[in-house]
This record gives sequence, structure tokens and C-alpha cells, in this order.
Amino acid sequence: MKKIILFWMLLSSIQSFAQVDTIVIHQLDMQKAEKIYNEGIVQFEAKQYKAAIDTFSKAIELKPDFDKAYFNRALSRFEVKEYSAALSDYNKVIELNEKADKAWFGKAKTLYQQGKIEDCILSYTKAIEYAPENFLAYYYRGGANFEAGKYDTALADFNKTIELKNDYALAYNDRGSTYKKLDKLQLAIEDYSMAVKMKPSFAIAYNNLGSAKKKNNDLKGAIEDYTVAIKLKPDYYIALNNRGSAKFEMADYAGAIEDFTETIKLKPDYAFAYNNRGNAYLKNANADLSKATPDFEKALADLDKAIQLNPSYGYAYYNRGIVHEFLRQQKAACDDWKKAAELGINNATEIIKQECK
Amino acid sequence: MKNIIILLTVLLCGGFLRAQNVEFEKKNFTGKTDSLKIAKKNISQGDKLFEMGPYKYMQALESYSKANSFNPNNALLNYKMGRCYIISIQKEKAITHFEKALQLNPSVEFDLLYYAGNACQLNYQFEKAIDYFTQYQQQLGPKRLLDEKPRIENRIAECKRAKELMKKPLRLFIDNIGSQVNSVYPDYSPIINADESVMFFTSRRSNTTGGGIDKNDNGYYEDIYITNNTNNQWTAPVNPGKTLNSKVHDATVGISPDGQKLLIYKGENGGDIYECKLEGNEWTKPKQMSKSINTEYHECSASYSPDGKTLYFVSNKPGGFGKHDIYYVKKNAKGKWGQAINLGGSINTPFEEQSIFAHPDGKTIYFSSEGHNGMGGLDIYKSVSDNDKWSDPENIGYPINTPDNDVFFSVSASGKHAYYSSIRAEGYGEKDIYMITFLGNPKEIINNTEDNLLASTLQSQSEVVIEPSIQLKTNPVTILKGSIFDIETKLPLKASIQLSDNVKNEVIAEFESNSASGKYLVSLPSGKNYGLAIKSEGYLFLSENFDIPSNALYQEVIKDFGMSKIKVGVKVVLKNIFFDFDKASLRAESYSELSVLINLLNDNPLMKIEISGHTDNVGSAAYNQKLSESRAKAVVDYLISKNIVKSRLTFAGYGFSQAFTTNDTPEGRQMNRRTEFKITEK
Repeated sequence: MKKIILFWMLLSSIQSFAQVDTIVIHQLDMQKAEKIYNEGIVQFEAKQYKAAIDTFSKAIELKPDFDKAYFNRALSRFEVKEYSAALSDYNKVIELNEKADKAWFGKAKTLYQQGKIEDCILSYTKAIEYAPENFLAYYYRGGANFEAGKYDTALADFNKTIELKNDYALAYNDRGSTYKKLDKLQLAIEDYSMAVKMKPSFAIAYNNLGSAKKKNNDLKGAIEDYTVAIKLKPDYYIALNNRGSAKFEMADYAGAIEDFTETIKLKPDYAFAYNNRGNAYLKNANADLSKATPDFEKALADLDKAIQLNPSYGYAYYNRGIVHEFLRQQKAACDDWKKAAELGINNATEIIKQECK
Repeated sequence: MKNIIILLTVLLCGGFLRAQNVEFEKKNFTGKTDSLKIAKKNISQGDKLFEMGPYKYMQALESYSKANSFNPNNALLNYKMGRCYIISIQKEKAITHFEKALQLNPSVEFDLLYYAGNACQLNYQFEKAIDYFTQYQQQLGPKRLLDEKPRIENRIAECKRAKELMKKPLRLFIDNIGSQVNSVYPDYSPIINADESVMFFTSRRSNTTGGGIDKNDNGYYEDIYITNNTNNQWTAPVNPGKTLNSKVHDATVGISPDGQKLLIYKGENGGDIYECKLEGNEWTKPKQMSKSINTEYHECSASYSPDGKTLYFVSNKPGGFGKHDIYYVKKNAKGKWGQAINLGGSINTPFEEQSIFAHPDGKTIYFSSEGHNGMGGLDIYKSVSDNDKWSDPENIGYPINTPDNDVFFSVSASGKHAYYSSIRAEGYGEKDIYMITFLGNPKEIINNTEDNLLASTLQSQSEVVIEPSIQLKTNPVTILKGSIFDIETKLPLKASIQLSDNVKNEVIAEFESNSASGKYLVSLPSGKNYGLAIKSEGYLFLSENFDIPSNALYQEVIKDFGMSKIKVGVKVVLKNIFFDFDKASLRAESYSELSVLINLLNDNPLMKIEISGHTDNVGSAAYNQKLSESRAKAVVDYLISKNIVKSRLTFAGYGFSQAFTTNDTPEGRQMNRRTEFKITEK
């Protein structure tokens, strides 16, 4: 028996966190399935996922209880987004070995992609049961709990992640977001600050730090952080939109308009930026009601565009109603508020009751 | 050459330019003796007019201007011109002249700095105004300072307050109500009825009664004009003629919410309030109001409460808080006005209170005052009564209030519109009437943002937007209006509308429909269970119930009433008869209506009636028959207890056999559950 080669590949890229499991090479001549299996790994590494799937399938044909081939085929199928097929492969691995923590981990990731958050959380729990030191399983389970709205549970998971790996910037960022959801803004700001300290190129965390400060009414601080995020990631339209909103809150409408315009340049189909820029034009215009300034028309055009991009954008209707009100188009205003109310904007319902006959 | 040297010296020495004061003296105008003579004559003409008081200032200004074009560099002349301009339409010119006077000779008059400050204040230059007022204060001697200090401090406080109020302008639009109403002459003091269908205003246009000119200010005498709102257009104003207008000043003061009674001001007896009523299409002769209102002093503004039982008015009679104060009188049971009562120290101040307007909501008053933390001159304030206690007056804000006098403000019942007069660039000349449209509540604009909250997934997450809460408007009213007519001939009827509070069992107010149009209008503040009894001589009364919860918003309800002559067989539904649920016990809320029925029976001693009970179809026929019968009997028993002879009354229970309308809807079932009476003999 030849030496056992163990590959543990953690593709650290955030989007495609893929892992390639153990490859065991038995005696080459004797074991054709293992040989084919190794070819599959080469293909996988060359990102030839479709080919790799076929190759692993051949190995499985030769050896139907070849757990590692199932596992790697699952990984390949995950890469090409064949999630159902990947799941059945993971299930096979687990059937062959209940304690295959990496299969539980992979299964959890796949379930997450399918939006089956509850099942995903259960799978991570299994992965943790068989590998209690796997900080990533805690980290991802934290993310799943976060998305399920279980912020207290998520917090415990991120705490555990950091306990196991105290220099993990990503976990600080995510825990910061959890604190933000729990309305513990000060703690959120501390965690985000820690994340950017550990990873100075961490644009997302800078953006989040900015948003936490903005929520904490530190608009100046927020603008500074957004600016760093944008510098680190010049196409970061989300941070630009956020900086525009912070300027808006500071009543710097001209500055806000500039940022929203930049945001639209980066992402021309971004309805939020049109909505927000429309609002900034409105604010710019309505300082003196006695004068109809061209900014009213600009506001209207932007909100029209936001609605065109997303016809079920309730807030854009609500805001456009306000512009119509300023333009003394009461019927158009009421029509917009009615539409906003239909789309679930509660305030619009109140306004209709009081101001629309 | 000499001039250049002087100029250079001034520039070098002072660093700023001070023009030289040039007196109207021969030595300054060599070779221009004749022109100088004319200029001096103009000045003395102007001075004569100036001394006669502000109403002559515009004439004085004409003469002064001539002299000023001959010699623009006289400090005293510039000062006087500033004084004239400060009360004119062109207030900005006052600053020019006062500042010119300051350059020429700062000490030409001791109060020059005060007026310069005041001119700046009126022109919204508050920083500069404060600066002038402060300089003025500093240069006063100790004795004068003692007298002047309160006035200066008030002006400075006004400037500061103005800056504050202007930071939060009101959400409104101001529209000229149009050239069909407004003229090149002063049009002002608009008063509207509750539903904004009629407006009375004062105008000094050329076709006023008699066409006379008031020598005091060279303007035509005031007359009252009426305009109607049809399809959102004000009709050409009509001069109601000699009943309301005389050859001298006749001005609008107040109007009842239904537009059937008018209060006007006449200058006689030191200034008094008169009342006239619309009888059909004709106004009755103005009648001087009771002595509890009018005195030998100046009574100049008045307004009815919506129930017509209280009259607010303004008087400068002694015994108040100083200058004009607001008073009220209440009507007693006999319909006479009682003692005048001062509205109290939270409303009245040692300074002027003017132009009172009581809103149809029955709780809010608007008035002008120079005594409460305003932005200059008279400002308009609002106060709301709660259990007879008036809230602290609230400045209604900029741009309705200005640094100048703001008076005559009337608000529609809906609270959406107000009317006032103003001099604005878009006007048709002098004061014009403007309609203010209040925008709804301020609405927070909502931005949307998102973040990449989780580093493990780049899915961005929208920030949860907390929607701002919306404040409910206060004191809403329901306007009930329509016409009353004979059900057979369809001709309009003059009828009285008696409004009762069913819970308190008391009559709140009585109104009349117009005999020519049959039209009526009643203002019903939210939060009461109202019973209405509509009565007209020779007709069977009608009843209507309006239960308006306190959170009901403004609404206009149009309801026409066709009345039947009293004759055998006629039926009336008694809409204000209430029973306990599923029982035959009469509730106390029914007594107001029953007293109307008792009066009818007492007035018609031969009349016999049947009281009948009716139910909806919920439950068995037998059960409902029994319930309706015992309810009818309960009414009859009550009437007997009030000394109606038993033999005149019969009762019957019809269950749901005589359904009024469908039983398939809740509204239908409610209409079917009713108590009726029928005349069986007359």
C-alpha cells in the first residue's frame, strides 16, 4: 500500500468555499477505480468540473462503495450548481459513514444554497458533533442562524468561532452584524473595528462599520468609513449608496446627489440609488415651496426610473407620492400612496385614510 | 479738484466713505435759487402732511420725493422718507433712506437707528436689525434708555424669534383667489362659512356705496362684498347693497358657520358690532348687538362659536389686560347675550389682541396679538380649549406670520384651507385675498440602503427602514349640510334644526334653514352622539342620528330632508330612540327625542298616534314580534308618565314583517331595527 495522500483543500475564496477531501491511492495497478479517481481530482483542480463528475462517476461504477469518490463528485456537482445531485452524493457518503463530518459540512453548504436554512443548520450541527474543533462549521452555522433571524443563536456560534480562531476577521465582521441586529450598536462597532484592524483590506467590514456608525448617528464617522470601503473596492456601489444616504441625513443634498449619481454609474439598474437620488432632489427643491424648481422634475424622473426598474418597489411609490403632493398633483399623489399601501407600506395606508378621498 | 482731495482724505482717514450732509441752503446751491425754493416748499408741504399722522404719509412722500430728487444728500429728508416708506408697500426703500441718513448724519434724529433696525426687521434682515437696535440702545442717555429698553428688547426678541420660525416654514401653498374677486384696490378681511361656499370680504374699490373717498387716506370707503364658490371658482363679487353697506365704512367681521348670520363693524359709538340675518335672499337691516358686547369703546372684531351660543369679540374697554382684549359672551336660555367675560391672561396681554376667529370645530380660536413671542407686529396665534381652559397660544408660523401685522385669518372647517389678505408680488394691486392650502402632515422621505452584513455570503441585506409615525390631526368636525323641502311640492322650507347631545340629554344648538333655498349647514365636532330634530310649522318633525366617534376625521355629509304635512297616516321613524341590547328598557339617550314628540302631542291636542316597534330578521318571528311590541309599549309608557293621555296612544309590535330595507346587510338590519310613530287621528 502506497502512502496515503491527504488533500485538504480549503478554497479560501469566500464565494466558492470548496473542499477536496482525502484521496487514498491504493496500489495503482490493482486498483483501477482509485486511479480514475485521481484523474478526477486533477480535473477538479483544473476547474473542469463536468469532466471531473464523469470521471468520479466512472470510479463509482467500478467501486460502488467508494465514499471519497462520492464526496468529490458532490463537490464537483456543487461547483456546477447541481445541488440536488450533490446532496444525494453527500447522503451516500453519510450512509456509508455516519461520522463523515465533512460530508455533513458539505451537505449543509448545499442545503444553504437551496435556501433550506433549517435543514442546513441541522447538518452543520452534525458536522460539529463529529468535528467539534471545526471553527468553520460554527462560523457557517452562525451565518445560517443569522439568516433565519435567530440572532441569539448566531451570536453563540460566532462567539465559539472566535474562541476557536481568535484572528478570524470574517467572524468579527459577522458577529458585528449580529450585534447590530440585536441593537447593540456599540458592540457592533467594536467588532467591525476589530475586523478591519485584523484585515485592513476588508472593504465589507468598513462599509458595515460605516452603517453601524450611521445608525448610531455618527454621520461624520460613517462617511469616513464608507470612503475607505470605496477606496479599497472602487466598484463598491453599496458603500457609495450608503455614503450618499449619510450625506443626505446630514442635509448635504448636493453631496448625496453626487454619490447617488456615481452609484448609478457603477450599477445602472440599482433602483435604490434612483429612489434615494429622487429624494435628495426633492429635499433640494422643497426648501421654498413657493418656487417650483427644476429639482422637482428631476426627483420625479428618478422615482419613475426606480419604479420602472422594480415595479413592486413600495417605498419608491410612497416617495413619488410626496413629490406629487409638492407639485400639487393630489390625485397622482394619492394614486401612488394607494399603490405603496398595496405593496405593504403602512404609512401610506394612514395617509390615504386622512388625506385621500 | 477740491472734491477729489476731500474724497482722498476721507478714504485715507476713515477707511470708509461718509457722504456729506447737504442742507437746503443757498450756499450749497449757487445759481439754482429757483429750484431750491421749490424744493424747500415741497419739504414744508410734506412736513405738514407728515405731522398729520401716518395716514397722510403717502401724500407727504410725494412732496418729499420731489425735494429729494433735487438734493438726495440731506439726512433729515432721508429720515422722513424712510418713516413714510416703512409703512408703505415698498418697505425695502425705507432701509435705503435710513441708511443714507445714517451715512450723512447719524445723529439727525435720536431714533434714526431704531427705525433703521425696524426697517431691516420688516425686510427680513434680522441680523442687521439686531445690530441697529443694539447700537440704538447703546447711544441712549440713561433716562431715555429706561423708557425705551422694553421696546428695544421686544424688537430684538422678535428678530430672534423670526429667525427661529423661518427655519421651520409651514407646509402650505398660497394662492391668489383670482382677478374675478381681487381688484387693484385693497381687498381684505375675508371671512368664509364652514364649507367654504360663501365668502364675505371688505373692499375699497371704486364702486362702493356712494363712491365717497375717505379724506384721511384718499381711499374709497369700505364696503362689504359677497362671492360664492361654485365648482371651485369664486363668482364675481356682489355688493349686497344698502342694507349692509352705507356711504361710509362698512366692514366684515364674522359669519356663522352656515353663512346665515353676518357680523359687521360700523364706526359709530366708538366702533360697534352689528348683526344681520339672511331671510330668504335678503339680508336684514344690521342690528346693533347687545350692550353686553358694544360699549362706548372700540369693539371691532367678533366671531360666533359653531353652536351660535357663544360670541367672541374684541374690545378696548377698560378693565382688561391692556389695549384691545378678547372677550366672550354666552347666550342665556332666553336667547339674550349674558355678561362679557375676558378670555383671561393666557390669551390677553398688555399689548394688542385683535381679529378673533372661532373655528367650526368648537374648540380652536385664532387671533392676532403683538403680545406673545411673535416675529414682529401682530402675529396670528392659535389656542385650543380643553374643559374651558385655553392652551398657551401657539404662533401659527412663517410664512403666514411675517415681521409686519398679520390679521384677519379664517380657517375652513376641514382645516385644509385658510383665507387671509396680503400684499404679494403676484397680486392685482394693494391688498388681495389669498387662499392658503395646508399640505397634509409632514411626510418623512424614505431612503433605502443595504449592507453586506455577512462575510460568508455576499448576499446584500436591505437595511430595515423604520417608518416614521404619522400624527393625527386634531379636532376634526363633520359638516352636515343639505336642503329641507316639502315632500310633496318639493319647495324649499324654512325649518329649525334642533341639535341635541343624546348622552347629556341637552339641546346643543338650534339652526334654521334658509327660506329661499331650504339650505342648511350644521357643524358637528367629533366625539358626540348627536340627535337632530327638524321641525317646521305645520309639518311633522323628522329625526336623524349622528354618532360621531372622537377619532372620526373631517367629513362633509350631504343629507336632504323632505318634510310631510301633519295628516293622518303619516309615519316618522324616531332615529334617536335607543334600547338596551335585546331588551325593552328605554335608554336615557332617547329622552331628547321623546321630548320633541311630547311637544308635538301637546301642540296638537287632538292628535292620536300609534307607536310601533320593528326588528331585523335575526331570531324567530315570534320572539321579534314580542320584543318589538314590548319596546313600543315602553315608549308609550314613557309618554304616559309625561302626562300624555293614555287614550291618545296605541302601540304595536311588527317584528320583521314590515322591513324597511334588506336584512342581508348590517346597515340594512340597522335601518330595520326602528321605532316609528304614525298619526292615526288628527
